[in-house]
Amino acid sequence: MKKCTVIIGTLLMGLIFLQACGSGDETVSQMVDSSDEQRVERLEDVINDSEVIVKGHFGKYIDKDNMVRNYANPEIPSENTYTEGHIYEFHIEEVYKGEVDSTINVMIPYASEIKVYDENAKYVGNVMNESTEYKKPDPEESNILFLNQTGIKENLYGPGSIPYNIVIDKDESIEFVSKRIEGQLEDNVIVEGDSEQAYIIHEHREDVPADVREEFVVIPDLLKGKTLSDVEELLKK
Amino acid sequence: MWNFRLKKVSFMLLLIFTLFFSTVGSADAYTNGRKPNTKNVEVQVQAYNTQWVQAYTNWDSNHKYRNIYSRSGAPNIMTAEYDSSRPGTFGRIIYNNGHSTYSTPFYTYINSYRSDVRNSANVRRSVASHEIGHVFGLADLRGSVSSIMNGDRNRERLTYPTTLDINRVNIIR
Ligand SMILES: [Zn+2]
Repeated sequence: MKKCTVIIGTLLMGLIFLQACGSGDETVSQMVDSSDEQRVERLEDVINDSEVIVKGHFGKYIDKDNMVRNYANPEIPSENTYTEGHIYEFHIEEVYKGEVDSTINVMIPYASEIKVYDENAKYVGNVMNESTEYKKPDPEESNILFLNQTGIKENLYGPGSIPYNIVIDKDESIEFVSKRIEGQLEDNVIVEGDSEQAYIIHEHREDVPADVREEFVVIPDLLKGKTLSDVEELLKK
Repeated sequence: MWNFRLKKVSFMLLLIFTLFFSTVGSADAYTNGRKPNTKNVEVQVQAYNTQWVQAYTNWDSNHKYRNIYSRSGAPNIMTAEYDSSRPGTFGRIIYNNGHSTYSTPFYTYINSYRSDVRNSANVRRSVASHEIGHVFGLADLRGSVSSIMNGDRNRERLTYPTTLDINRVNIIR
């Protein structure tokens, strides 16, 4: 019996130790960023939500700005919320929807700032989380963009829907840029059970240790079975 | 005799493992594992006041264990932002607390970049009610379930928490 007590005691100690480890580093703040989002079901939804749909390629980088603005006046940046957008020139080869100049400025979401608080809700600093739709523009590739006027400045466009950027490869294969599309989910996207809800844990371990759980909806594969010419045909309707 | 000991040992091991995993195990699917760190949730409404107040008053009258009301200088912010980076997003909430079980203090906004948000008080009220559901620990849902937490709901028609939502927050407490 003594032997059993020793075994059980050792196991118990081991489990307590494991549990202590499992509860994680006490200094890593556990933050949550959650959106009430519309799930796009079809490519037609993306088309309907966008005022401007164009094909072309990105040009030079111009500037960065806050994509979150005063709720009543978009000319004024938000004082409390910061999502960094990168502004690029976009040279247009074809316009499918809307009236635009041959070159427009497009602001693409790059990363969102999260204010980090410790376990006592004391502010400790900021971290930046890259947008699930971010990819550094490559002037060598062609893109179809689904856009809206931002209202921030004249001739400045932003995403008309999420996703908003189709990359056309040299072999004419097409893909929406996003980490959260069915069939092309990024490795760090965790889907909850069999639902369409998912999340990413953005792990920060340097200046401001934090795990930011960003919650979002999984986007269906809107281009499934479609070729570039199928999409262009739909856009020209 | 040995057989009896073996059974006893197995039983104790089973008990230990059950206890261990029940404390580590994740929360039920309808909760996000967080709740306010106080019984009273004091909020500061900074924009779209009418819909935020309607939404929290409705929640307040249905929640048996929590109160929610306005106080100037309160740490919990309900507001609106024009978020052009998230055209598909109606509302957003960020918990300003690094503690994994607390939902307060929080910062939540309704996205005025969307024209349906700007044009419809029902949509704004629906979004406000949804975000307050997160304050009380409810998680996002999808599909056909009748819940203010359902991201696929008709925001024009479903603007307040349903019986299901109210039952659930009162289980979470
Ligand atoms: Zn939500």
